Amino acid sequence: MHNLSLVIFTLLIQTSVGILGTAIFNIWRNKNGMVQIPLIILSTCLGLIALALISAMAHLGNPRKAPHAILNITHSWLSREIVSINLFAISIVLLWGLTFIGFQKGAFVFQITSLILGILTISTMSQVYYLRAVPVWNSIATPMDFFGTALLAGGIAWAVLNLFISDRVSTPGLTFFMFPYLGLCCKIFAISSTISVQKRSKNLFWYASLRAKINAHTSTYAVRAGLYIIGAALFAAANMGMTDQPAFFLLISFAVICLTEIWNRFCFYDSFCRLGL
Amino acid sequence: MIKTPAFFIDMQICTGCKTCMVACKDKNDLAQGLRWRRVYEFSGGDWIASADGTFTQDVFAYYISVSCNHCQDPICVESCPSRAMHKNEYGIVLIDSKKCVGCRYCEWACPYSAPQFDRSNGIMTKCDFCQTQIQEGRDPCCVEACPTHALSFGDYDDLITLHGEKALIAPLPFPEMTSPNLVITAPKQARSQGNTNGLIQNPEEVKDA
Repeated sequence: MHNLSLVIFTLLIQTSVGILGTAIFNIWRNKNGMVQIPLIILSTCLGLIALALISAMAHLGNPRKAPHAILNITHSWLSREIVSINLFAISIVLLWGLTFIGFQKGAFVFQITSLILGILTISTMSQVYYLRAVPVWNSIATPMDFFGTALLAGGIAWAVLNLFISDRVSTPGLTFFMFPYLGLCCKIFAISSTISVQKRSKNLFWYASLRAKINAHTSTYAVRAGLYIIGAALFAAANMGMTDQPAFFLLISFAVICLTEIWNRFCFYDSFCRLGL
Repeated sequence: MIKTPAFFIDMQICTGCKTCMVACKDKNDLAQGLRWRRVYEFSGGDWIASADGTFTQDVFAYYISVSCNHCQDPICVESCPSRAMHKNEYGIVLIDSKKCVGCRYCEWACPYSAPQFDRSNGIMTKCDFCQTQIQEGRDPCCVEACPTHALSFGDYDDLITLHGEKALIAPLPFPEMTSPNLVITAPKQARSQGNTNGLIQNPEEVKDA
């Protein structure tokens, strides 16, 4: 459980970006002229970010010195990640405030700015793991996995929130399918890419630490991919009128995706397998 | 002070006694689990079947003592978000404990496992080349303690001139990653980097607790 704080931190930040992105995309496609993101969605994003930041602080050996962590922004991707997350958090707070007071003029500009900062956050978060000494992380699989979480978990989380807002599962639309299924594609790509990196680097892992028994995880990739597909299929069933209990299917889909994401992220950190001593 | 401080290990005469490891731990009063210098036991090999039905063996075993190599291109310094990890004017990579946030990112980045997390203080720690001893004209404690003189230190360029090019042997990482200030005289049975026949045999002794 050594990486629990990082698992929580990365998943919550990525999910909040996904929720925001789906909400903005939905507004963009909305024909009834709605320009504001519902407050409950922004509050959820804020809550997730707050929890993520608390979790990140728990990871630090010396949280009181946390402000020092932005000093090496010129060289360290970790500094850049911290700065971008804080900018993203500030933008969500501003957006929440503007929505709360009913500010509508130019709301879309603030929404897009927040989304860009969110995408920047996931990009810098991915770069943190581009370490030459850790081949499995140092690949395209990392950003694909992180953006996949944002699209898949964020997209479905938005649908769940929408269920509570409108008290019904929304009718099929491009929004519903575009984000989660794009996320699913990213996830499947990330999984296959990780397997590929592991196969290519196999002869370099022999002196890596014992705790990183990556081969033990190889067999689980197929199971994880299967769970993602099941979660996405349940989501489709809920939104395409294939069941008379769409809300139940949506919630089950959300639960499957959440649990798979947590498992997948633990496996991500367990795949730390360094070249060297 | 020397220009580019570097360690030299003559692995042909290293007996793997681990006195260097113990001396470092003792001198720096390191807490449980912290090992700024570690001696890796690396061995492997197997029986090889010949065409005539007989078998030969290619078994090998050797020791390698490793601490921070105060690299020319230290990845820990580059990655440290708080600039706690820095290189001083003498080329020694040090940690400013007042700035270290204990994020452990340097621990991930360093392929030599040099930065190590001190759980009791919540900060990273590492070999400081016994800089106070060096300033007094003494050797680092690991060098002083080595009974066979397998371990020594000096200016990197001088060591290269004296002992030849750096050895690319297993289980060390590729030097291109950080340009370590480490010079090695490899044992005869040393395996080259990328070799898949060997394993570190004492992981409990050298890995973080």
